[in-house]
Order: sequence, then C-alpha cells, then structure tokens
Amino acid sequence: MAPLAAGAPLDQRRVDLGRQLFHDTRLSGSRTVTCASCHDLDRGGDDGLARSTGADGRPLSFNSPTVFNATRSFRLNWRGNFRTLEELNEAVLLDPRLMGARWDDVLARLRADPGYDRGFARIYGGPAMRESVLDALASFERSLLTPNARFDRYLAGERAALTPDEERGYEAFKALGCVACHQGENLGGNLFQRFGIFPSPALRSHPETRADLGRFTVTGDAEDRHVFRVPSLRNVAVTAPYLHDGRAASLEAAVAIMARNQLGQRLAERDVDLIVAFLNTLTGEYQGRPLLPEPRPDPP
Amino acid sequence: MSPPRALPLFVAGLLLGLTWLLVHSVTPNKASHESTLDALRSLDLADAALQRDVLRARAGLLRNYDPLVEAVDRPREAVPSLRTAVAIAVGDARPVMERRVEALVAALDEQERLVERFKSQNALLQNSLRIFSHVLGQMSGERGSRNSATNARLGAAANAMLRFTSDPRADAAAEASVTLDRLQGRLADPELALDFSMLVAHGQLIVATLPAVDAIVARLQVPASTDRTQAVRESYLRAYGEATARADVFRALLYAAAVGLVAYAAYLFLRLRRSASTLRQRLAFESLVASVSAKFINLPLKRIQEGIKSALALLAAEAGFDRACIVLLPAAENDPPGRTYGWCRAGVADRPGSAQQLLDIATDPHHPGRGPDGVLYVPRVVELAAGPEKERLGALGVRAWLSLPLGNADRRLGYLMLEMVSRESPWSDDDIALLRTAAEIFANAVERARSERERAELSAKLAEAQRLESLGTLAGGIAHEFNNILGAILGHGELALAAPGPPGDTTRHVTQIMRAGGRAQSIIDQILTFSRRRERAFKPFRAEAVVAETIDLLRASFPATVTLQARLAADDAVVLGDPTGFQQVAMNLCANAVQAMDQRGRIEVDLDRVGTASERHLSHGRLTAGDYVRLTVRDTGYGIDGPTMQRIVEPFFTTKPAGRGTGLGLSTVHGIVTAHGGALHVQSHPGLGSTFEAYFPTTERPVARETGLVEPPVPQGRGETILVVDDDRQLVLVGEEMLAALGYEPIGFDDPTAAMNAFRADPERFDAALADEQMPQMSGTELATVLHRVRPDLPIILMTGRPDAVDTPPRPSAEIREILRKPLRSRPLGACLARHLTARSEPARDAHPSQPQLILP
Repeated sequence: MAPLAAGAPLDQRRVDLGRQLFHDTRLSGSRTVTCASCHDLDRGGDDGLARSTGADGRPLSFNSPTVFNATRSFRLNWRGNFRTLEELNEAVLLDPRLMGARWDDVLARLRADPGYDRGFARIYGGPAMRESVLDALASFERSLLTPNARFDRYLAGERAALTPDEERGYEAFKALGCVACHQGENLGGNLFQRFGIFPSPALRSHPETRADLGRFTVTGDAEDRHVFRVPSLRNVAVTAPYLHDGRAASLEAAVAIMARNQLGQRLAERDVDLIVAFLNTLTGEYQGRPLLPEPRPDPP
Repeated sequence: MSPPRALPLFVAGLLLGLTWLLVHSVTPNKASHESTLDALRSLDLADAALQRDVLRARAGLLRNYDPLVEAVDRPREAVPSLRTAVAIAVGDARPVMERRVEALVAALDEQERLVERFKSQNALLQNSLRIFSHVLGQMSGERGSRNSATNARLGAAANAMLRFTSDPRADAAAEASVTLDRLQGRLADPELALDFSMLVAHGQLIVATLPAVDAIVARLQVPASTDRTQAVRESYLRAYGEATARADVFRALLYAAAVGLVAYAAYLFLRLRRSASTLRQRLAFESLVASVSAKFINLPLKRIQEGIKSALALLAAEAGFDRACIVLLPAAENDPPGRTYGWCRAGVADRPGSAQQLLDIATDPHHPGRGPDGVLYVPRVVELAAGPEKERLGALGVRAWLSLPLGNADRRLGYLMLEMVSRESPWSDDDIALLRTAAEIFANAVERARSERERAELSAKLAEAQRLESLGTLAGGIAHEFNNILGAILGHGELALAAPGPPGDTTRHVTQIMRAGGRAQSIIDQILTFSRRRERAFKPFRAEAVVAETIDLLRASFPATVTLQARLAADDAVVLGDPTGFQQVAMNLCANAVQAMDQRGRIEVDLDRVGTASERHLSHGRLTAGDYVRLTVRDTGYGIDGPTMQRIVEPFFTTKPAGRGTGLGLSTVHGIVTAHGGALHVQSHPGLGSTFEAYFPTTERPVARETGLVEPPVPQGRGETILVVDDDRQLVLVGEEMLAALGYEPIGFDDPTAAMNAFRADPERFDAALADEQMPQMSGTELATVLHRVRPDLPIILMTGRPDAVDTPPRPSAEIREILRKPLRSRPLGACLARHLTARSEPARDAHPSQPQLILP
C-alpha cells in the first residue's frame, strides 16, 4: 500500500481547455451528452447508475467506471482494453452508442467557436485538431486525482486518521486476502484477475452475458475468460453501484460477493461492516473537498 | 569570371553542394544517441528489475504489483526511441536492425503477456498459500480437531502440500491433491467444515496454480528480451559507428570545400586588387591624355612641335614604354620626309636612326599583323616568324612593338610607334584603345599644324593672285588704249604700202613702221592674254598633235648647242581649249628653258596624262580632282631661287638684263593655263635646273576638224555698199580705205545719229553695216538694234577694242552677226564680210543667222 502520489505537473491551460471540452455537448453527435454525463465529477466521477443508457436507448454493457484517478490505472475500462486516455477518449467519442460523434463535425463546431479558436490557437498554435482535442481532454483527465484520503494520511503515519473500527476493517481487508489483488498505490488497477475463483452457486446460476466474458472478448484467449481489470478501490464509497455490470447496489453487497466468489469466504456481517468502514476511508479530495456520492446541495 | 547568367546557377549549385555536405557531415545527433543508449540501458535495467520483482513476488516478498507494472511499461517507453534510432542505419543494415527491433518488441509483448498472467496467478497463489497456512495453523491450534484421525490426515495434507510447494513436481501435486481430497471426504465435524472447505479449496488452488506460476516464472527467466536488446544494441552501435565515420568523411570534404572557397575568395580578392590598380593606372593615363589634349587646344601654332615632343615624352613615360617616336609622313608625295619626334626612357639605349626603319615596317601594306584600323601590334618580337621584320626589330633591341597610325586611311599623317626594350609587355585591347586616343591627340595636333600652314600658304597665294589680277587689269587697260593707237598706225601703214607708186625710201620706212607695229601688237596680245582680256574660241583638240607641231617649229629655231628631247605619251588625250594658246605655252616654256641654259644644254619635253583623285595644291594654282594632260618642260639651267620663284609669273618680272626679256613669257603661260582651268607647277633647285609642269584638263568631247595654219587668200568684195560708223574720224578713214581695198563701196560716218539718218533715208542702199561698239553718242549695239528694226536682214558687224566688252550686251542679240577686234585688219575683215554677204545672197542655205564668233587676229 502506498499513499496516492502527486501527479506530474500539467499545463494548466490545457487542463482548463480540456475541462471545457469535457463538459461540452458539442463533442457528441447529438449535441446532448458530454463526457460528464457519465462521469459526473460531483458524483464521484461516474453516473451513479448500474449501467447508463446508450444512444440507442438500450442499456450499455458495463457500469461506468469513475474518471477519478483513472490515469493511475495500468489499463483502462473493465476489460483493460485501452492503455492510454487518448485512445479511450477517441473510442468513446466515436462510439455510436456513447458520444456518437464524428471528427469532422466536432472539429468544425469547435473551430466555429471563437473562444475555442482562440484557446487552441494560443495553446496549440492552430485550429482545433484531433490530436489537440484529445490532448486537452487527456490533460484534464490526468488532473483528476483525489489525494489526501484519510487512509493516505494513515499510511503517511497519522494513526488517528482511522477509527479503531476502520483500522480493524483494514486488518480484515488484509487478512481475508482482498489485498492480494487490491494492492499498490491505487488499491487495484495494476493487474487482471478472473472473476469467480471460487464461484458460488449464485454466480454460476447468474445468466451469463457477453460482458461477463471480460477480456476474452478483447483478446480471444481462453485464459482470459471472465478476466477483468482489477478496479481501484479509491473513492469506492462514492461510486455505487458496483461490479462490472453494476449488479451490486451497495458496498456491503459488493464486499460480500467479492469475498465469496474471489476468496471463497462467507463473511460475517460484522466483518463486512468493518471492511466497508475501511473502504470509506479511501475517499479522497478533489479541488480540496472530499468527493460525494451525490451533488452537494446548493448552499442556502 | 563566369558570365552573369551562369552566376545564379553557380551560386545555387554551390549552396546545394555545401548543404548536401553539411547534412551528411552531421554526426548522429548527440541527444538522440544518448537517448537511444538510455533506452537500451533502461531495457536492461527494466529487465533486471522485472526478474528481481517477479522472483520477489513469487517468493511472497513483494505484494505490491506497481513495480511490476512499471517494469513492464518502462521497456515499452523505450521502443519509440529505438524505432527512431533505426534511421541511423543505411543500406542492408537498416532492415536487419528494423527486424531486430520488431523482434524485441515481440519479445516485450510476450513478456508483458507472461507478466500479466504471472500477476493474476501469483496473486491467487500467494493469497491461497497464506490462507492455507493460516487455516492450517488455526486448525492445529486451539480450534484444532479432537479427532486424531482427522489430525493425522491434516498432517499428511500439510506434509504433502509442503513437499509440493518446495518441489512442485507432478507426483507431489497428485499426492497433495489426493490428501486434500481425503481431507474433505472424511470431514464430519460441521464446526470445522467451513475451515476444511477453505483449506481444501485454497489447497487445490495452490496445487492448480503453483506449477503454472512457476512455469511462467521459468519462462520469464529465459532472457529472450535481453538477447534481443543485445542484438538491437549491436546493430545500433555498428550503424552509429558507420554513420560517424561517414560524417567524418563528409566533414573532411566540407573542410576541403571551405579551403577551396577561401582560396577562390583570395584569388578573387587579388584579381580585384589587380583590376583596381589597372583601373587606377588607366584612369591616371586617361586624365593625363585629357590634360595633354586640353593643353594642345590652347597651344599657339609655333609651339606645337615643342608641345608634341613634350606630350610624347609625358604619355610614353606614364604608359611605361621604353622608347617612343612619332614619324610624320610628308604632306605631299614629292615633299621631303616629314618630321620625327623621339623619346627614350632614361637608361634605355636610344637608337636615333630607328624611326625610319620602323616606319618601313609600319607602312608595309602587306604586313600580316595589321589590324583593320591600321594598328600594328607585335606583343613578342621573339615569337615573330623569322624574317626581315624580326631581324630589324631584333637588331634595334625591341622586344615588343606597337604602331598606331595618325589620321585616317585617306589622310595618313604619320605613325606613333611605341617600343618595349626592357621586357615584353602584352598590351590589352583596352590599353591599345587608350593609346589610340593618345594617338588621336597627336594626329589632331599635326593636322592642326598642317592645316594652319596650308591656310597660310593659300592666303599667300590668294594675295599673289589678287596682285596678279590687279596688275593684269592695269596692263590690260593700258594695252587697250595702245591697241587703238596701234590700229591707226598699222592701218595707215598698210594703206600707205598699198598705195600705187614706185617703192622708195618712204616705202622702206613704212615697212619698218609696220614691222615695229607688229612687234608692239604681239606684246599687246601677250599682255591681253595673261590678263585674260582675250576670249578665245575653245574647241576640242588633240594636245599631242599641237605639241608635236610646236616641237618641229622649235627644233628649227633652236641653236645647235641645245638638244631637245621629247617624250609624247598623251595618246589621244583631248583638251577643250585654244590650240594656239596651248602652242604658245609650249613655245614660251621652251624659250624660257633655252634662255635659262644660256643657249646650251638639254631640254626635255614630256607630255603625258595624269589623274588626281583629290584636290592638289601646286606651286601656282590648284588642281581639282580629274584627268589632266601634263606638259613638262625640264631644263638643266641655272634654276630659280626662292624669292624669284615667288614672282615668276608676275608680268614684267624678269631676271634678264633690261631689253633682253619682256617679263611676259611666264605670265602669258600662267594666263593661258589658268584660262583653261589648269594649273602650273614649278620645281627648281638653283644650279640643277627647273621643271615646269603645265596641267590642262582633258575632255571626252571628240576632236574638232583639224585646221592647219595655212591661210586662204582674202576674199574680195564685189562692190557691195558697206556702212562704216566710228566716233574716231581717223578710224573711219582707215576703215573706208581698207574696205575699198577689199573691193567694197564704203560709206563712213563719225556720228552714229548721222549714219542712222542716212540709213533711214535709203535702207536698201546698204548691203552691210560695220559699227564701233564704244561710241559716246550711242553704243554700236543700240545702233544695231535700230538698223535691224528697219532692215532685219542687214548683216551688222560690231568692232571693239575691248574684248571683255564682247561678253556683254551685243552677244545674245540676233542682229549682230559678228564682232571684230580693233584695230581692224584687212584679212579678218574681208573674211568676215565675205561670210555674211555670201549668206545673205544665199538665204535659203542658211536661214538662221550664225552665232556670233570672236575671231582672233
């Protein structure tokens, strides 16, 4: 385990431009959705839904992962089918079920906007291009780090940052074996793992979707069947629902499912609570304020 | 220098070439080389780190997989810089290196795949091992089974698992698996069931996973990527070495090019400096030429020779010649040789006589080295073909030679000749052009001097001519008066002799008077001739025939001590003029010669044809261009000295003692020649004799019928009545006597009015009228007009003592048939009347009045 390290210094102008693009409907073919539609920074970087609805009206295959700290994952998305934010962003932009945009349209719209035009000219020395749009977006996403979680302070030596229960929960987390995969700076996000090492009858009986095949649908390798990228547990408390298809509505449910199917353990409620308590200490701060599962109510 | 159009191409080519060299001489970029080496190093380091971390993870010492992620990612970051580094390789080495890099990338991909699998499997394995030992520990502890059989099986399973984990062979795996199965099968204690199932599940997981994990670890230990990294490094370093060597070669070439350009720049600089100095010298010379030219303009004529000499010295010294000379040609063919100006640099041997020798070469019309403008340039005498020229120049010590003509081809004034003795000096065309400008200055100065001299001579001649003219007018006037008097004397003399009666003393005296009168008449004729008071009837005649006749006459009259040698070579040359005058010229010149030789010696008479293409100035007169007959009379007499020559044609000028000569001979010759449009040229050297040349223009007209000197008898009248009018009573009487002697019936009047009245009274009474032109009451012409009005068919003859008057009024009018000269002589008068009275008696034969004719006495 390691505290979340500070990111490499970024060009603030690119970050700001990226932030603007991130929240701009003109990046979608229908001019109705933005990146933030599924990755609401006020909702822990995701949309709070089990699965979002695609442009075709049907639900998508996977639960939207949070955009916070995504840059620290060794691969992106549930199947780990992207190595870089740029690749991922372009795929999402062009995917007809997601943003459904075309570069010609997007660039024409951006160039028609004097503000963007000035911004791109100032930063990239020319009109908006595919590369500069992707760079701006990725720059912004790289800035989305959530340091300073209580657990980070604990790791940094501040024992009082965790309550005794939370500390017990951390112990349980390690003793039960969660830590075997959820380790490192990001508590996950640095390896692949099969879902269902000790499959429960419930898991076996669950109707298998294509999404459940995991990386297999990407690599075609039989060994990759049901293999997913191990997600980071940072901010896990504010990114419900859980698991690749959002099948676990609560953290408790998710913990139970993971303990049963991955570790072959049926956890007592007490242990689940302790672990959940520990997981709650992983919520970090963005722009100096802790993340929240729901938008902050407007101050009176 | 390159021509201007090629220059941009040349510069562009040079720049391209230099750029090409520069591009090739660049050593492989230091930074990219470092980054490539870093990449290769980082591959090694990452590989080592990966090996270490995999082993640590396998051993359970490393539970955080972030380092593994990094160890996999870092080599991938090195790949782009390796792909870029491939560019350094050239030729066959590049595809080899590309293949090696791609092989390395494939190895890294494979490595990553293995590492990913290792992480997944190892996470499970390590977790299961930990849980297995944890559960086992718990079961053998306070929560352990009371059942010894269970404990024994537990122990067996633990042992089997221990053996398996320490040596995971297939048999050990099978044994562990069996003992675990056995453990589960015998499970009866529900309290322990959960732990047992955990134990079994994780145990089985260990059995299933551990060999796979170890297999992955084993495969990761095979250093495929290490070898391939090594291969890429080897390729890269070899290519880098070659690129460096190549760059060294091109750098050397670039250096050579730079050295070449520096040398070329230095060469251009030197050339520029030399050109500048040449230009400076040329400018200095030009300004010198200009200043000399300006000086000449203001130089008085008498100092011009001095000026030429100093200018020659100045210009030749400035231009760097060793010797220089200007040789002027004589102004006319027969003039003495022209003046020579010489200059010689101090310390150079002067050859005063060389100018004439050089002039011979310069004027040689067949000289092969002559330029179209007459310039003769011998840059190196030693290179001349062997021949007289080389010998001559060599003998003079000349090593380079330049001859520039002065004046144009039509009027060659002379030559400016420049010599180099100390060295050969090849003069450029520009130099020669400049020297030609200098030559122009000299030519202009010489030309100016010459023109001035000619002008002075011409004005002297003009003054002389004017003096002759006034002398002529004076003499003519006197002669005219005397002529009238002489007319009376001779007329009466003639009548007295014709009077019947026995000859006696009186007859003898009258005869003497007539003889003296004849001489006086001859002198007056000569005076009238030179003063050109006498118009002659010009007709075409063969000059040679006249000269031949004259020579026959002269031979007879010359003393035996004089030999006359004649060369007549004029063939059929025809002169339009007066043959008698021509004859007189020949006779006078010969007579002159005889006298000049003191009656002894040889006279040469030549007659030939000459032509001149341009105007020529002779000693006495001027010849316009054209063809001439030249009569040359050469004697071996005393010759004529300068002052005498000046006055030779002056009337009454004679060197003979008083009474021996009239001083009219040469004046008459000059008068006749001038009247013919010719000129006289006299050359003489005291003591050596003289040469007189008389030029007469020739004509293309055919020769008129030759008339001899034989005179027919005077025709007699048949009693025709002739009206005679003259204001001088004496002359009327003489006229009447003369007409009567000729067989006519004269009726004389000394008053024209009286004559007119008499005529009006009975016009038919008269057959012809003879009237004096100069009468105070009425001119002969006026009288003739009146008479003619009354009787148009009346032949009227005018008399005049002033031949110049015949030019004016009477001549054009039809009524005047003829004009006679006074004093009247029987023969011309008789012939004249016979002509006109015959014409009148036969009017059908000659309807038109004949042209008035001037008859010589």
